[in-house]
Amino acid sequence: MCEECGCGHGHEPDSKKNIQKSISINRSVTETNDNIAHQISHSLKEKSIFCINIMGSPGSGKTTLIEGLSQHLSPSELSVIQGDLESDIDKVRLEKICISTYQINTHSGCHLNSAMIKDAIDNIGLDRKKFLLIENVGNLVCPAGVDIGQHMNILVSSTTEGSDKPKKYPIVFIDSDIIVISKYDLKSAVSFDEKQYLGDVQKINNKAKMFKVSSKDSASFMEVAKFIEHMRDHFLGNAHHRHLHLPI
Amino acid sequence: MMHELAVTQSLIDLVVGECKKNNINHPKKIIAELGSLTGYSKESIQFYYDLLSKEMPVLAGTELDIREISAEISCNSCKKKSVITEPYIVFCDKCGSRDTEIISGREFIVKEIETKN
Repeated sequence: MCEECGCGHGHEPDSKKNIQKSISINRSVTETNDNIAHQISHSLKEKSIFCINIMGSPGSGKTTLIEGLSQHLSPSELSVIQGDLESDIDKVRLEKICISTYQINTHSGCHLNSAMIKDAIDNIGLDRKKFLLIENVGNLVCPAGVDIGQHMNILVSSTTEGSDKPKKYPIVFIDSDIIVISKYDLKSAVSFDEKQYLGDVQKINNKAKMFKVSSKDSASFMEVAKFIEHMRDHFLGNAHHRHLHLPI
Repeated sequence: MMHELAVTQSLIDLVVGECKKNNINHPKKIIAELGSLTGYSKESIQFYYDLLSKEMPVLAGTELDIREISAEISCNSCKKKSVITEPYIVFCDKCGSRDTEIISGREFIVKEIETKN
């Protein structure tokens, strides 16, 4: 019976009303995505497949990088997952040079997530593949920090976007293991201030390995290809952490 | 702006699940911590929370309190920890070493749920 008025409805006395409790949760909002990403990463490593997340603005040269790498790595050992809002233009482009490609259309989604990648992997054959290259949605903001099961992040950053990008979009630069300066042959034409750019990158990420490439110069992709081959060997042989710690 | 939609839905799913698990019928406040290196905008998350929580009766009147957490680096040379703020220069502010590791700033965590049961 209610101690307050004797009505039998179980009213709480004033002293017990509005007692505020605080329950400790301490859970990551991204844990569902991150758990799937962890499974992808582990499963690919078990299959000796090195997974690279390629990020960059629309038109920065992400697909061109894959085309360039395929001239120095065996196309049959590459598998690509392409992320775009709409169309299969890049899938068609890569399949013309015999690279097995799976297209994800995110429609309004601004980046790929691990559930999309898991679904894609379930639909592609990865037998005898050495590399899974994931070309993220063209965007210099959103893909950064979203774990999709990758073992390494590459940022493609073109001279035509300007030398102020490390200052304007620092987080994607911080999250990158390799930074590829693309359209390097256009450096002078677009007044790309390389010294400023490299100085700014050094201040926010002094561990990233830097490369310069041009679609007109197939050999410029060779060093990138050699480096990711080396990092794959290193990762499969020695790595204790899922994300790599690259030499400065 | 779309960037924060999915992550706000994840936050709501997590909180609704915790409310159910802990028999919380009327959460008063959700306290979350948002690291400065996540790239998420606090204002956008708040906007989407206000929109999406309207669909969840359990969250009627529940405040979302997002506390921003600065990123920190730890120096491998002198072991000092330093806060890094924009523009995210990762040199140690004590000894100037470039050999540093980012130790926080990438987290987005639901810390607590305050309730009046």
